[in-house]
Amino acid sequence: MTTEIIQKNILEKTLDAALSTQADFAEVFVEDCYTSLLTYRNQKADQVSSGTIFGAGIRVFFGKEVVYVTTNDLSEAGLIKAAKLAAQSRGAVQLPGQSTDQNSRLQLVEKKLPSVHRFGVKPWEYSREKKFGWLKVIDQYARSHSTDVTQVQAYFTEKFQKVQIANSKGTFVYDERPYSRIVADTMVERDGLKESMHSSEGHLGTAEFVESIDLQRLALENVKSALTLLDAKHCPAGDMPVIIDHGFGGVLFHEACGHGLETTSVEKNASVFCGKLGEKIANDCVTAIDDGTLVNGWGSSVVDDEGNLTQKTVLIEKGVLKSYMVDEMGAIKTGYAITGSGRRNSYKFAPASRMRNTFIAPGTDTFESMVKDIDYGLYAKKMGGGSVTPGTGDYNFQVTEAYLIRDGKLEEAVKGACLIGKGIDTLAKIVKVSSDLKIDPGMCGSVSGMIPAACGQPQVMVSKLTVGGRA
Amino acid sequence: MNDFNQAIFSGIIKGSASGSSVLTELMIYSRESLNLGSQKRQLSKFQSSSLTVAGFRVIDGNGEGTAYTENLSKEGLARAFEDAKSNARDLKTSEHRTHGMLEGETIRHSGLVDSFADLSIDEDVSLEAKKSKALELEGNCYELDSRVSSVPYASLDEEFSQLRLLNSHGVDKSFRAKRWIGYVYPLVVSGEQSKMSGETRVFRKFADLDVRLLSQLAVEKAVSRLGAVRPKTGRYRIFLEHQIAGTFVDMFSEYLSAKAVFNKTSLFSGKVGKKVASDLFELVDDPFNRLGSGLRPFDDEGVDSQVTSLISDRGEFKGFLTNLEYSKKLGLPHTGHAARSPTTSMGISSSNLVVTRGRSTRSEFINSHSQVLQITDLKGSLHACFNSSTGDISIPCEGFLFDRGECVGAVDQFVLSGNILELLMQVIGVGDNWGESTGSSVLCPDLLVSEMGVAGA
Repeated sequence: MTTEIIQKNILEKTLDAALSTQADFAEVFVEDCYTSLLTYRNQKADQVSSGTIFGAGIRVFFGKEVVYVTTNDLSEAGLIKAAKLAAQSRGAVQLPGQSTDQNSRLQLVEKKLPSVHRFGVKPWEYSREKKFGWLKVIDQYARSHSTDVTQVQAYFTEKFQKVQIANSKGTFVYDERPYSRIVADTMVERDGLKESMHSSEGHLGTAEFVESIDLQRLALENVKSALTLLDAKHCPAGDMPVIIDHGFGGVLFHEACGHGLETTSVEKNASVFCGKLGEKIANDCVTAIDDGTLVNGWGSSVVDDEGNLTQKTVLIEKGVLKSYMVDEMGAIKTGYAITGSGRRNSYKFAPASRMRNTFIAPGTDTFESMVKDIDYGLYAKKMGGGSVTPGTGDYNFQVTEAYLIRDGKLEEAVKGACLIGKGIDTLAKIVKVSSDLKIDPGMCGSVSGMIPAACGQPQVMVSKLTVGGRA
Repeated sequence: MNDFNQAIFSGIIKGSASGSSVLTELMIYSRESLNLGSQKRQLSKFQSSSLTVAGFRVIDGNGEGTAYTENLSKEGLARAFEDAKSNARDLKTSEHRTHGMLEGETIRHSGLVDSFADLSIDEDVSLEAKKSKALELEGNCYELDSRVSSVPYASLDEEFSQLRLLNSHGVDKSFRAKRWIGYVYPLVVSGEQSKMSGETRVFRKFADLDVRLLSQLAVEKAVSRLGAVRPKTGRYRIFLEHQIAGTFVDMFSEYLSAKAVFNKTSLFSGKVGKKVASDLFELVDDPFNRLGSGLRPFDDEGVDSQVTSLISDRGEFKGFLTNLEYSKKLGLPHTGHAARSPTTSMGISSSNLVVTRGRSTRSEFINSHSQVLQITDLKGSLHACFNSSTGDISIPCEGFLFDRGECVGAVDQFVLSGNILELLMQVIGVGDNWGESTGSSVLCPDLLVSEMGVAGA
C-alpha cells in the first residue's frame, strides 16, 4: 500500500514554516479523496458523477487561538505559502534563524497503523454495472409489492479517502477510509394522498458490503412503512411516555446529549453538561458509549482526523457522567485527556470533537414489558432527523413512523409526530433499556462539516416526553 | 485560474469539439475566505481558505456524465475530463438527449455581467481592522447585558468567489462577488433558564458592518427569549416574522422545478393556471435583487438571467422553472434556471425567490385578532420537520404571544403544525419590508396566517 500523498521532507518543511513565528503546535492534514454517486430514478440509471477532493489544511495553535489555512495547491511552494500565511496570521514577523528555506529541523517518523477493518477492491475497480444492479433490485422489489408506489429513488455513494496527518508533536500517519452507503427513497400515492419513506445502510468499507444486505427487505420495509402512513392519522399532542425503537432511535441520545458532551461545546461553556463530570445525570439503566473502534463501523476509523488513535469512550456509566469527547484543542482548553474524537468532513474544515459510533449499551428489559407498562403513550418506531442547541440542551426530532399505545397494547399508526425537550431532563427520564442493541448509520452536521456518524440503542422507554403533533 | 490552466481547458474543449458528437462544459469555481472568531474576548479562530474546483459535464449522444477535481494539475484535469466522458458512456440510455448545451459567442464582459460589478468591490482593509471588529462583536455582548454568560458563536467572515463557465460551443462567462458576513449568537442565563439567539448580517462593504448594532440586536433578541413558557395547545392566528416566512417559502421551492414534475415529486404538478395561494401572495424569481444571495447574471448553463413570475398577484400559479433539458423534455418555456456546482450533476433551482411586499405593519398584525402568536425562531431542521411528499409541517418554534395587541411574553417548547399548501391559501396579511440581508436567497416580508395548529402545554 502506498503510504504517501506528499513526500515526508515537504511535510517537514511545511511544519517548520508553520512554526516559524513561535506557534505552540502545527499540523498538516493532506487529503486525496475519490467520490462517486450513482442514482437510479424513474426505473432507470439516472445519474453518474465522480470526483476528487484534493487539498491540505494547516493548523497552528498560539495558546488557545486556532489558526487554520486550507489550500488545494499541494506543490511544495503551495504548502509552504499556506503554512507561512498561518504563521503570520498574528501579524508576527519571522524570527531570526527560522528561515523555511533551510533544511527542515523537524524529523518525522511515520507510524504504521494497525487496522482491524477489512476492505475489498477500490471503488473505481468494482463493476459499476453491478452497483446499478443493486439499485435496480431495490426499485423492482418496491414496485412489485404495491401498485401505489409512484417513484423509487435509489442512490449508491462511495468515498475513498486517503489522508496524511503530521504534526509538531511527531505524529505522522497515513490512513485509508473507504465509505459506502446505499439509500432508498420510496414514494406512494393513493386517492390523491402521498407519503414517502427513506432508509439507508452504510459501512466503513468498500462496495462488497452491499452483498451482505438483504435489499429485498430494505425495499419492502420502506414500502410497507410508506403505505402505513397513507392510512395513519395525525399524531395527537401532549406529554406522554414514549418507547423509542432500537437502531436509529439512538438519534435521541445523539442530539439530546451527545453534542453537549463534545468539548467543542464544553470548552465554550455552552453545554448543559459543563461541570457535571462524576455526577449522576441518568438512571442506573443508562450506560452510553462513543466507540470509534467498531469493526467497519460507519463512524469508525483507525486514527481520528488529528492522527490520534480512536478509542472506545464510555461517556455515561450506570447513570454517572464519566467522560466528554475530547480533541486536541478541547484538551488544551478543558484539561481533559484526548479521546481520539477530532473529526472533520474534509481538509476544508478544522477538526472539532465529534461523535463516532454513539450508542446506549444494552440493558436487561424487553420491548414487550415496556409496552405493557404504558396505559397511553407512543411507540416511536422510525426516527427522522433532529437538531439540538447544546447551550440550552433544547432538542427536537421527527418521528417518521409511530404507533399509539393504549392499555399496554400497540394500536394504530400515527404520523407527523415530533419529540421536543431538553437533553438533560430526558436523559433522567429513561427508565427502561432493552437488551436488543442495534446501530444504524447517519450523517451528522456540525462545526467541522457533515461526517458519517452512527447512532444506536436498544429499545428505551422514556417516562414522559413532549410529543408535538396536530393540535 | 492561471493562464497555464486556461490553456489546458481550451485544449480539452477544442479536442472534444473537433468532429465529435461529445459536448463539453467546464465550470470553475474559486473561493477565498477568511473567518475570524472570538471567544472570551480573545481571537480564537483564524481560518483562511483558498479553493478552486473544476467540474466537467459531458453529453455524449444519449449519455450525460459529470466529474470534478480539486487537483488542478494537468494530469488531474485530464483525468477528470476522461472520468466525465466515462460517466456519460455508462449512462447511455435509449432516451436521446436532445437538449444539448447553450450555443453562443464568447461573452467575458457582457453588459449584464458588468451590471453586477458592484458586487466585487476592491477594498483595502487591514488584518488588524478585521480582527478588531471580530473581537468587538463578541466583547460588546458582555458589556450590553450581565446575563450574557458566553458567546458560543461570534465571527466575521470575508468571502470572495468567482465562477467561470465555458463550453465547447464557445460560451465563456464569468462572475465575481465579494461579501462580508457578521454573526453573533450570545447565550444568556437567568436563574435556571438559558437562551441562545442572535443575528447574522451580510454586507458588500466592510465599512457598512456596524458591529455595535449587530451585537446589540443579538443580545436584545436572546434576552427577550428569557422567561419563555409553553403556550396552550390550540389553534392560533400566526404572525411569521419575515425570516421565518422566508424559510416557509423555501420549503416549497422544490415544487417549482420542472425536474420535480418529471420525477413526480412536485405538489404543484397539474396546477399551472390554478389558484395556489391567497390573493395577497405574489411570488417571482428575481436573479437581480441585491438583497438576496442567489443573484447571478447567468444560470449554470450560461443562459442570461431573467425575472420569472411564479405566483401572480391573484395567487395563480404561473409555471415551472426550467433548464435546457427540462424545457425540451416537458415542452415548457425556458426560464434559465439551470443549477449545479462543479461537483454536482445538472438540476434546476431558483435564484432569489421574492415575495412581493404588501402594505401591512407589524402593529396591524398583532392587533388583528384577540390572540396572535408571533413566530421568531424555528428550532428544528427543515429536512426533519417538513414532509415534502405531503407538504405537512411539524416544527418546534419559539416566539411571543400577543393578547389584544399586548405582548404577554415569550413562548417556547411548542410545535407549529400545518400544511404548506394550506398555509399559502391562508395568508391574510403581507408586511411592508423584507428586513436586512442575512445571506438568504429567499426574500419574504412578514406574513399573517389566519390559523395554524400549536401543540404546547
